[in-house]
Amino acid sequence: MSAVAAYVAAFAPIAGEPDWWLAQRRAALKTFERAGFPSAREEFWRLTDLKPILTQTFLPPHTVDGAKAARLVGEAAALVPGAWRFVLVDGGFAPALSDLEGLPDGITLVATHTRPRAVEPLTALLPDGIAALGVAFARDGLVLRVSAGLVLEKPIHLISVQTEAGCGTHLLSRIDLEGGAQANVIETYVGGEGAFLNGAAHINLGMGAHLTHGLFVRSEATAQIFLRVSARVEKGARYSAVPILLGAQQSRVDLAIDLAEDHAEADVQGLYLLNGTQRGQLLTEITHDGYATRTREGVKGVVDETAHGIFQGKIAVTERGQKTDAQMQSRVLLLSETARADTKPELEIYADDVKCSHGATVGDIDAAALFYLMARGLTRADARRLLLRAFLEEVADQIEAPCVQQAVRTLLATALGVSAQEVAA
Amino acid sequence: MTTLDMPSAVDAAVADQPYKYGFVTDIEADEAPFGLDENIVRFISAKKNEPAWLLDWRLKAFRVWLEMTPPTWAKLNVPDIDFQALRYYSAPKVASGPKSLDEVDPELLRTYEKLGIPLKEQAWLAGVPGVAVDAVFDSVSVATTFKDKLKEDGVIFCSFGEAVQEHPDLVQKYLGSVVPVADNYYSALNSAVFSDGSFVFIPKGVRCPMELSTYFRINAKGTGQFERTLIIAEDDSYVSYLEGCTAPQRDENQLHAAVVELVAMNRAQIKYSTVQNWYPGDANGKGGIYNFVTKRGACRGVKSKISWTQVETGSAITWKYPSCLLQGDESIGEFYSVAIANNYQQADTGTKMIHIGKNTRSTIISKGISAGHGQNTYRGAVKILPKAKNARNFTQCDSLLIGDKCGAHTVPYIDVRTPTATLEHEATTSKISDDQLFYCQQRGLSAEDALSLIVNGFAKEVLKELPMEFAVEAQKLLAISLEGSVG
Repeated sequence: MSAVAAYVAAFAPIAGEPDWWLAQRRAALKTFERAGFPSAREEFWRLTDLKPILTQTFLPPHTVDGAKAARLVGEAAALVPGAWRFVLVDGGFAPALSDLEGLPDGITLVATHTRPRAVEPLTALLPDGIAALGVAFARDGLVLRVSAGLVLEKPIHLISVQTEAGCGTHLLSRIDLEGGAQANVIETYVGGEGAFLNGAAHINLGMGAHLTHGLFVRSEATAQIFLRVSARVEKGARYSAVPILLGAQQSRVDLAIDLAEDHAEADVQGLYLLNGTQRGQLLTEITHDGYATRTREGVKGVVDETAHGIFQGKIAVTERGQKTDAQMQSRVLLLSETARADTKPELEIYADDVKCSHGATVGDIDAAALFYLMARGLTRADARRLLLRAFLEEVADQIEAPCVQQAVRTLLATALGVSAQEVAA
Repeated sequence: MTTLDMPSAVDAAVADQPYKYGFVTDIEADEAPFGLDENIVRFISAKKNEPAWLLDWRLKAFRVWLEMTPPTWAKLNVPDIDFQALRYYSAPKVASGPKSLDEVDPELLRTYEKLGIPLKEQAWLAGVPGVAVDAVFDSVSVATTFKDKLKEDGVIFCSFGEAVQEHPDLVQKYLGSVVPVADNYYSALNSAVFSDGSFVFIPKGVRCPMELSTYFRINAKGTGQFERTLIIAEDDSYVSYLEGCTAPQRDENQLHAAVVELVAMNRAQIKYSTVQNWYPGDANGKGGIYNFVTKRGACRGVKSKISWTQVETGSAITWKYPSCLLQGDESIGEFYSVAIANNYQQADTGTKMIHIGKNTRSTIISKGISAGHGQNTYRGAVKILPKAKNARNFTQCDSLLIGDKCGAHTVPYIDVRTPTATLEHEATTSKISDDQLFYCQQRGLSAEDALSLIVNGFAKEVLKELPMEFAVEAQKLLAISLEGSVG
């Protein structure tokens, strides 16, 4: 049986879901059946390794390993201390592991299955078979709504754990910040032995709102993690995305940001740190559709062993995007003979009064800097580690929200084997 | 479906477009019937009196082409082209090949004079000495100047057809070795139906004593031009080659699909400059040449160097990516480009630098100018393979926007597979600043002169790479191409 047919056969109604939602999921399944999986001949799937997705059927999980879930959630939670915690285990909301104590009035933070209407924008827009598959099989996700003017003091930490090996988890989420609201949302992905995760989120930021959105992939080395975010940014609002690709066999984070109204801003600070046979892919498409919109995008990559790092960034300016100011930077370090980096910083511009630029570099650690440190008594290994950390921490320096910045520093310290004391210093 | 220059079409209307090469020369032509099938391929091959291996090669290419589909990945809006509505061979009629310039149709010589290319050697001696010209009119080469002088140094510079007759072993050895027949849709088509072009061979240790130049012109209605250029530079040789193009002004679109192959052996250098000024269509986007060109150079030897310089001002559609395969250790590839898209022109152009050998270096400087409703895309790839230790690339692509109806796009692909490589890429997009225009106008320049000055400054890094005579021509061309885009 083909992978597509296996998914179709595995489709089943979910207890308690409304009829209209079941119909939506069925329609998405039909779309998936028709569209199938994307192919490597498509521009935005060209560098994705589709083989694991095509050759294996990742069916919905049956049993949850409670002990494993608790352990992984505990580890992940330490990353963002003092946060409201929203935990999804194998694609379903886990209230027992979550901590939503003391949410102020004016904030709605619930599981998607209780409010499927919220994710309807994601069912309307199915750019490819994987998106359709996600809608067809989604059980849950996060729905967040922050009312006008409310500034959340504590961050919200969504932890998604996959405990059952070889399964598929599909998430649909929705974040809405009304005018002037501010929030920090961090998503951490863990677990996922030999498993597939397919997440999609739609974000809407009202006038003057500001969201900092961390997407941390720390899944197990055999996982396939595909995340997709579409964000609509209204007048004077600001969306700051922080995608950090560390774990998983393959991670693919796809951000589509629409600066739909005047003075909207996007800020993307991303990094990938890959080794072994990992493949990490960050795709961004930022559309400047309002007057005097602004983008600052910086992506850093470190690729070791036979890993493959990919950044495909596009800045598009429509006829309405006059006075756009957009900058995109990508810098990659290759640490081994067999590592590979692909970069495609693209500009598509249809307005004349714009300032757009992009820069990209690929290379090894600067030999002169290495020599400088070694001349002062550091071993080669220590010198390299120090330079790597300096290189990567520049990303953290650019993040404004202190809680997200601290979380990124902790992540980097763990990944580079630096002690917590050093981080504090 | 748009047909390319149907025979029933009206004659060239003289619009108010400042395209000064839009005249048609009335010459009796020896033509193939419309359409394309194996018989046409055989007809062309027979006309050229080609050996059997070349006919086989063409037929193979034709069969490959039949299986292929036109590429759609470029940011171009290409109407469906009816390949059966074209004439694949058109030659000015002469009893036999011209033995000397005196035998060339005087009408043809006058055409070239109108184009500013005096073929007469005397004219060259009196004017700009030291440029040898091969002129290609529609499908065939009509005259090559200075051939004897070049022969003294062992340089072969002749029409492609002549090379097939006189140097078949060289042609057979190198034809299709850089651009394989099946490389892409248009290269396959060209391989099947190419009619003429230029052939250059520079022997070991020879520095070609003069600039070599080819002038291409599409004249006959309803024809496509499919020329083929092959340049071989043996060890320690040097050649600078210039290429210029024009076409009559017609309401229909005409097709040009050329293939250029360069081979540089040890320490050889090839400098290839193009001033492409095919008819771009009128101010409303009617007519113009569809220019689908495959240009590629192979730096086969150590320390070899290939340098592409292009000034692309013409054509309704440009699809062109002059590339370098840097195979030899320490070989160098360069690409300098100025591309203009004005009115309804569309340009999707750039380069590919494939680093294969150790210590290879490449430089890409691309300047795109968009005006009117023009769409200009830089599309480039830099690929550094695992064995290309210490490879180095620097890329800069700048775009200039004039007016709010045009578009400027940058699509660079970077693929690096060795940590010893160093690669830098920069791109900017901006408009001509009002301050700059005001400054110039305040000092007495007209708006158009100010624009021309600023655009030439913007493109200076590329223009300085052109041989001197062409640089002057190119500067004027930039100004003409942008006429009417400000004020």
